[in-house]
Amino acid sequence: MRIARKSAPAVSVPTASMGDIAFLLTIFFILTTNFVRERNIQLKDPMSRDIKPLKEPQVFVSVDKLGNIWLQGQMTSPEALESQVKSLTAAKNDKRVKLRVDKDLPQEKYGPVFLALSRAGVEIALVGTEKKSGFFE
Amino acid sequence: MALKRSRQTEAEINVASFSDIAFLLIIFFILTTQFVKPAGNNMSIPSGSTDPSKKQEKYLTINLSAEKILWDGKDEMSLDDLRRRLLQENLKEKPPEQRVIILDAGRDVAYQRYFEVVTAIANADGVLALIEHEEKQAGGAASPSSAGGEEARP
Repeated sequence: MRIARKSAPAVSVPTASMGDIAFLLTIFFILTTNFVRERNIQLKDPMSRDIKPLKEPQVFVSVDKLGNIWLQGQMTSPEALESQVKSLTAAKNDKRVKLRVDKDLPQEKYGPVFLALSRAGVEIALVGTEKKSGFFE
Repeated sequence: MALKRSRQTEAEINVASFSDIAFLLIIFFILTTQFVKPAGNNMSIPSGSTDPSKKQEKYLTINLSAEKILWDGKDEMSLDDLRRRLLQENLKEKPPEQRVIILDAGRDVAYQRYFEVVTAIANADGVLALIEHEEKQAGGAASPSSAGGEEARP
C-alpha cells in the first residue's frame, strides 16, 4: 500500500509590517533628532567634577586643538567674534553661547575668546565632561 | 472578424523598496543624531570698567599657573584645597560684589586646568572676573593688566 507522504508546511516569516515599523521609527527620529553640528571640529572636551547637565544653547563657539575659532561651524577670528556673536544673539531670547575649547590649548589661545564673549554681553555655557571621582582615581 | 481585446494591465506601485528606504533613513538618523547631553557650567561675564589697582585691593585673586594655584597671591594649594576653601568662604550668602574672584591665569595654562578652576568657582557661586594679559611687546615681558570687571555669574 502506498502511503501518502505529508507535505511539509511552508514556513514563512511575515514581513509585511516591517515597512510600517521602519517608517514609524523614521518619524520618531525625525522628530527627536538633534544634529551634531560640530562634527568636523577636532577637539577634546575638558573634564571636571563640578559640572551639571546644560540646556543646549542656540549659538555655539568652539576652539579646536589648533586654536582655530569656529562660530556656528564657520571659522572666524577673535577680533570679529564679538560683533558676530552680538548680531547672532540680538534677536534671540536665549543669550547663552555654548563654548567648547580643546583641553590642551594654552590660555593665550582661549583667553581672547573669553574676553570677546564677555564684551558681547552673553552668558557662556562652558562645556565639558564629568570627571568621576572614583575608586581608581 | 473577432478582434482580440488587449488585456488591461494592472497598475501597481512597487512598494517593496519602501522599507529599505525607511531603514536607510533610520541608519542616517542614528548616525547623525546627538545622544550625548552637554554638561558644564553657565557663566555670564558682563564686561566692565578697567581699574586694576582698585580690583587688586578689593577682590580676592586666584593666580593660576601650569604648576600651582595661589590663593590671594600667597597660599599655594591644590585643586581640592581650592574647592574646600571656596566652600568655606560661603559665597552663596554674600552679596554679588563680595563674591567676585579675579582669576589671573598664565599664558601657558592648559584649558583643562583653567576649566576645573572656573567650574569650581562657579559651583561655589563665585562671581568670576578675568584678567587680560597685554600682547607681548618686542623686547619686553608680558604684564598683566585688568580688562575690567568681566564678572561671571554661575
